[in-house]
Amino acid sequence: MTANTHHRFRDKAHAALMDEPLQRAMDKAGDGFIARRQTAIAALDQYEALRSRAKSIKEHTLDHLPEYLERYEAQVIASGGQVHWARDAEEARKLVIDLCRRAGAGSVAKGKSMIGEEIGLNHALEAAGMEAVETDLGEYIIQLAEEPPSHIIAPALHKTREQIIAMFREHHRSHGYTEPLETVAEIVDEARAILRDKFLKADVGITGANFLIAETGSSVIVTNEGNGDLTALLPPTHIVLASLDKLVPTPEDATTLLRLLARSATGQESTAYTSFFTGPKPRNDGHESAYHVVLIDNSRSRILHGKYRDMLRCIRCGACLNHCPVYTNVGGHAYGGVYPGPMGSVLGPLLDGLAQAPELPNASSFCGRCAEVCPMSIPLPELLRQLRNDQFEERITPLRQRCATRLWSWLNTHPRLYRALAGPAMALLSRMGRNGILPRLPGLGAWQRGREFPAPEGGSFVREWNRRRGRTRHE
Amino acid sequence: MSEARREILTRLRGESGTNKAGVRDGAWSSSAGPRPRLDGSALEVFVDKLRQNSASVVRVDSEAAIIKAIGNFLRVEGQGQGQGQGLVVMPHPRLRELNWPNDLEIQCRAPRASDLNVLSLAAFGIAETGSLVLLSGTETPSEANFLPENFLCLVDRANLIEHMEEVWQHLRQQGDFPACVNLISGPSRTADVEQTIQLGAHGPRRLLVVIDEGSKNE
Amino acid sequence: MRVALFATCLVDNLRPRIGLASARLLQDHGCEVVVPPSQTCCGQPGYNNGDVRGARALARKTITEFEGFDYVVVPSGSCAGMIIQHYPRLFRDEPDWRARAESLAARCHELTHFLSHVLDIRLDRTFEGRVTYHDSCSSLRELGIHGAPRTLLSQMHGLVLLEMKETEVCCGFGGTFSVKFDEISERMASNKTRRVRETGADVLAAADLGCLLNIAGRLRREDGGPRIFHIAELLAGMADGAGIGGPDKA
Repeated sequence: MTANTHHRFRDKAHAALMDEPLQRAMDKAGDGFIARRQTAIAALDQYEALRSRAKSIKEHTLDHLPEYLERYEAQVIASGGQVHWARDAEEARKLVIDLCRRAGAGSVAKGKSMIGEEIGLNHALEAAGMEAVETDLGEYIIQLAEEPPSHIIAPALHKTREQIIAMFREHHRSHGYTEPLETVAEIVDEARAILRDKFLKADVGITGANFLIAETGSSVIVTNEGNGDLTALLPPTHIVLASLDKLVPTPEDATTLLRLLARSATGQESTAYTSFFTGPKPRNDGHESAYHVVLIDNSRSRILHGKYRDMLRCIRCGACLNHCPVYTNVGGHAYGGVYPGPMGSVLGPLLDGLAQAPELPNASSFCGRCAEVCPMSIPLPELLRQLRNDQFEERITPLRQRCATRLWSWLNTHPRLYRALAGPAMALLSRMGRNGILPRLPGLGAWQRGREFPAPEGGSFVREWNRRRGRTRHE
Repeated sequence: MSEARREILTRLRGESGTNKAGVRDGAWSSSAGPRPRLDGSALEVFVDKLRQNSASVVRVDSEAAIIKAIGNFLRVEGQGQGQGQGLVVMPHPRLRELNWPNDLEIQCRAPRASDLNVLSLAAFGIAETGSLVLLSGTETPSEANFLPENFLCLVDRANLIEHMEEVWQHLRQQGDFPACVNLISGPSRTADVEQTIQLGAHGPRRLLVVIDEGSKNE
Repeated sequence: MRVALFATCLVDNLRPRIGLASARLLQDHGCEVVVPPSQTCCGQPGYNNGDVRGARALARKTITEFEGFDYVVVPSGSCAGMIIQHYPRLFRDEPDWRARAESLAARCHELTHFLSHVLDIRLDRTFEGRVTYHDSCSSLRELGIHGAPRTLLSQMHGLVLLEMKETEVCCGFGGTFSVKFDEISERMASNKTRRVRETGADVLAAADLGCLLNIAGRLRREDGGPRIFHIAELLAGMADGAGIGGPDKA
């Protein structure tokens, strides 16, 4: 990620609101996620018990992260695999490229991985002369479009069918596909045919991990397409990328989290495929595949010891995105980073620095739906508010805004002065009102661009009430 | 090991240092969480959930019925372009030793990318989610679960379990975690184009589950 | 019982009659109403904009002003949420103030919740009209209030309650969010006005003036829509004028 991509959220949100295909795509996606999750959660016995258990699993793991990581590593080694540790994105990229080179890789198949996006792996692989092919259909579509994902579980959510068809025609011509496409089935079939070939030719398969299991040294992925499994199974080398926070102690713990993950994400009780990979896999040719895990810190150890530790419980289900009225109106690209929506507005500033993402913590009306639907009980609005506080204290908040906020607080702690100013101001505004609304006023520019401002009624309730009481008492 | 490893672990330990108290070491299975209650018997729920997820499910009570169910499925779904209605059977004795008829073209070998119809054997069926549990090994290689257009899978009723936790208990007792444990709850699907569900994204387009309720032997 | 009314700065300055309506409802049902004269803002703007110190100063002021009452009633889910949920958090590290904040939080109620759950009132008023009710996010999610306003509205003779779709979705106000991200806020408001119109209601009611200003502002820009009142105005029999942002100023 380049440093400045988080900037200009407002501008990008503006462009997104004006982007008709994007708005059509977002509208189409909108209610489906919400309704399906609602149904799945309603049908789940013990949702709240599972949710509270899930939180305690992650908290327990975070309390003992080094111990469980050591156990995990020992188990991977015992099963014949190797573990590599990366402090940051750059180290992770180098490790992966080095592993790919040692495997003699010309072509790399990739399963969907948000940590892969986070460390900018595809560009690095290509710069190192390797072909990196995303195999999740959504990821493949945005790879063709040369765009980052706009949703953490539905990366091409922002694309319409027409846009996808146009891209396929442009890019698949060289593979000999020229027939016109129309239906979703035709699109999926064409991608299947092209990507099947890529799976078979790939020298290395790279997947992410939804969970890592300390007891067994397993990595877990959930998919609906089966692309992650083909990526893990077919190439002679399998590399798993995972950030440290993916760890859980046991398969039972993973099971508890799985009960929440798919329901929160897509409203499924379970995805079509849930796979546990442990060590090298036996291959048809009688050899075993190589199995590597790259464990990536990239700020997690810093977050662990700070005010934002709650964020490390995130299992990347995307429910907070689907229920966020800001996200569902502007889409993921406006956020500029790898992670959009409420979880991205917390994680972006933590990963890239608060000064690099000044608008994100503020891009929320604090409606609270994200926290309500979060299966891991992450208090997202509280974390956003804390980030706003950090911005204020670190003077990242613009000076004018800081002064205005301070002035408001100060004025309100001086009730006499406050009343002396508010009374005449409201009286004046009330007189300015026409037909119940205020004329355009310089201080109300942003509000009045798309809305009227109702004129004050005039007077003050508190003052008049007490004046009247005072009089009654004297009489 | 590496400097990165040392540094990361040091960072994670912070000021508190090692904190072994309460680490679930050796008492792994005590970590089971709440298990959702099933609305019905394991068999009923298993079948319902699989059907909800677009799988075809056939319940049989004899070897002959297994063969018949597979034959019926192949006649309807098992013919690809330029390919016969052949079936590639994974080399597990339970499958190999079925009394395959001569009019069914059977090959018993490892799967290939071009295979149309592949039959494998599930170690368990999880009722809670309607999931087949396939364990990797030379007799049931994992590629079989993902490569073909049509994936056929036999599961014995005796191996139906209510919840996923029972798989972990079983594997723990057995003392060996296979390289791949695949839970399969339906055919491959995607909703990446306009959130429209389309079956057969990368893996099988169709899933036939044959539940053997009677002929289990061995 | 002695009940202190925390009018909130928006009501106090922009639509005093909501304060009057709230006081009337409380008095009608046997409360001795006190309106502490030095009350100002609860501190939420500072709190939500990073100025935690400023918010703490205002919280201390409000806590002090409202000590010694049996109950504190607020005609706003958002300001009640600030006092009930966030004041105790503001004093996490100051045990004395924390105890005082918790005491206030325990005595503090949003108006409809107080009328319905504490006073358990039965209204005997008439309002002829079809009303749709907007849940503010703070009422709904911070305070868990959903039934109370509906129960009260349904006690009014002649009133028909029409539920809009997506009542749980934010109207886009969000305090300073409405001006910092005015375009997004406006889009959210437009989505809300569409839902309001779909009901065919003649009146929109809510328990938060912030939401009402936002939705009213958007409806007026769109040129019309139902009349808009704070729920207290309706319940107190004071919903007779043109409503918030209405053409002939009430």
